[in-house]
Amino acid sequence: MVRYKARYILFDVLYPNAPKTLGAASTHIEFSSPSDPSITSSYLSGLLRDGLAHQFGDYGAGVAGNLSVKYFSPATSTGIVRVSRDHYRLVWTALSFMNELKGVPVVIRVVRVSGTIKKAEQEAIRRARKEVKRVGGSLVDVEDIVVEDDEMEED
Amino acid sequence: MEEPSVTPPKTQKAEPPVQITIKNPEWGYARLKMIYDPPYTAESPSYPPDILTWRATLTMCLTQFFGLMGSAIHIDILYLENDEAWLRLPKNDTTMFAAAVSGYVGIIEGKNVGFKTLGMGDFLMGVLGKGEEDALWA
Repeated sequence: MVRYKARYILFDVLYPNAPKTLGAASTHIEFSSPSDPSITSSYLSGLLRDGLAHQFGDYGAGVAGNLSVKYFSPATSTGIVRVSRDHYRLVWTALSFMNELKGVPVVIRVVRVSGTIKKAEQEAIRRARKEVKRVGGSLVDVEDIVVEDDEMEED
Repeated sequence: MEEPSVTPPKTQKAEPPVQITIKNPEWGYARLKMIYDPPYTAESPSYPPDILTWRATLTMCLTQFFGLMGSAIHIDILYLENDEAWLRLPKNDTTMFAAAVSGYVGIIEGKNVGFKTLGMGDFLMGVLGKGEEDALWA
C-alpha cells in the first residue's frame, strides 16, 4: 500500500475591476480586495469540480475530483486546495480558468504549490505580512487575519 | 611514340541504399466502425453514417470523457466505407482517443451508438491490413 501523496495549492483571488477607493492614491492592494463572505470552501470546491468536469471531462472529474478546499478566507481572498500529487496540474488549470465568482470578474492566481499544508500556510502568512508592510500598516497582527477562526486540519 | 594508355574511368559504385527508421511518427491512424443498437436496416436513409455524423459523434465522445481537452483533439476523417471510417490524429493523442472511443455509448435517432476499434497504429497501411484479417478468416 502506497501512501497517498498530496499537494497543497495556495491561491489568491484578485479583483481586477475592484472599485477605486475614494481619495486614496491607487495601489496594487485594490486587486486583492476581500471576497464576498458568502464564498465558502464548499462553494469553491463545487466550482472547482464543475470546472474539472468541463475542462477535462469524466476523466478529469474522476481523477482529480477528490480535491478538498482546506481553507478559504474571504477577508484576505486566500485559499488552500488539497489534491493528489499526480493531478495537481489539472486543478491548477481549473483554478486558472475560473473567471467569475458570484458574478464578479476575478483572476485566480496560484502562488505556491507545496507538499505540506504547513508550508502553504507559512507562505500565506509571509505574503500577507508583506502586503501589510507595503501599504504601511504595522499595527495589525497579520496572523490574526490569515488564520482567523477556521482551523486547518493536518494530514 | 606510344600513346599513354588511358585507363577508362572507373564506373561509379552505386551508393548503398539509405535506411531510415521513423522513430517518432507524427500521426496515428485508426479504423473505427460505428455500431448501432438496434441496428439500422440497409435501406434506412440514415445509414451509413455520413461525415458530419462521424465528426459530431466523435466530438461528443471525446468531450464526455476528456472535456474541452478532448474536444481539442484534431481528427482527420480520411475515408468512409459503409459504417467504417479511417481516421488520422496526432500521435500523442492516440492513447486518449482510444480510451474515449472504446467506452462510449451515445444516442443517435433513439438508437444507442458506440464504436468498435478495428485497428489502430502509427501507419495507415498497418491499420488497414489488420482490418482485412477479419475478412480473411471470416
